Amino acid sequence: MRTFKVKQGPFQERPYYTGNEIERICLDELTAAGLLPASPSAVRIERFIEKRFALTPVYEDLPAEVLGYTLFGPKGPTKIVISRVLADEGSKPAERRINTTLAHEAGHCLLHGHLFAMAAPPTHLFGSDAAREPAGFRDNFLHGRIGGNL
Amino acid sequence: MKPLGEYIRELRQQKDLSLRDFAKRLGGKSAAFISDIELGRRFPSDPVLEDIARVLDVSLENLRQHDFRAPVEDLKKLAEQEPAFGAAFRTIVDKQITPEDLLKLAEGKPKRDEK
Repeated sequence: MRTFKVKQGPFQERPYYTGNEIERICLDELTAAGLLPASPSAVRIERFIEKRFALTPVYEDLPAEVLGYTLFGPKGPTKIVISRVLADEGSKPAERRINTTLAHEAGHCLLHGHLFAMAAPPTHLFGSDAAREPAGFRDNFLHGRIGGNL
Repeated sequence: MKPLGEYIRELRQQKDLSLRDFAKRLGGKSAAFISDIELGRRFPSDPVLEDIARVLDVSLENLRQHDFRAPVEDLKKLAEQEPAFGAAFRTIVDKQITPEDLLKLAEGKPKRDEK
């Protein structure tokens, strides 16, 4: 991982991972959690999050353009939220979107959690809910401000 | 003793089931619905609780022991069947009787069918 100093955004630095680094981190983490499939097949991403971070994803009403977000505290992720609309839809595409959103949030937890331990986190999420949330950010925010390495 | 939602989550995790695995085994319920139950935001109906017990391999009675909700419906029925109960409940509220006082009084009395 390389780190770049940045002048914009909530953090003073931005991590950069190569594709190989991300691949190795994910393989190591799935192996440690006992969830690396023996043959090519779907990863049980929801169980990975529960086992690795001791968090159960929560399904809540979110603004239409938001599929999920993660809240972080100084010690790591404290809450992962997925759009309730996806869970209630029950279709195959919705299931896949839940999987990719969970994988995306798990990526944040693995690769970006340290940023929150090093600096004051952003205080705004979105809409009126922002004031109630102590720390965190939504997906696109992270992609835009920290980098879209996931 | 853990509240019902937390207890269900614990049993589900012991069985290595994700929320969505669990929801599917409950006849295709929504993961959001199960999440709400585990967080104590909603309570399952009797048929759903039966299904939960079946999937988690525990007895219905075992799950019910973790349901700490006040039996509001039971109290309503009592008051409807015997208006004196309604007056008694009102007195409890007005005099701000504590749960401890109520329990002390109730535990000192034999059950009706034990008389």
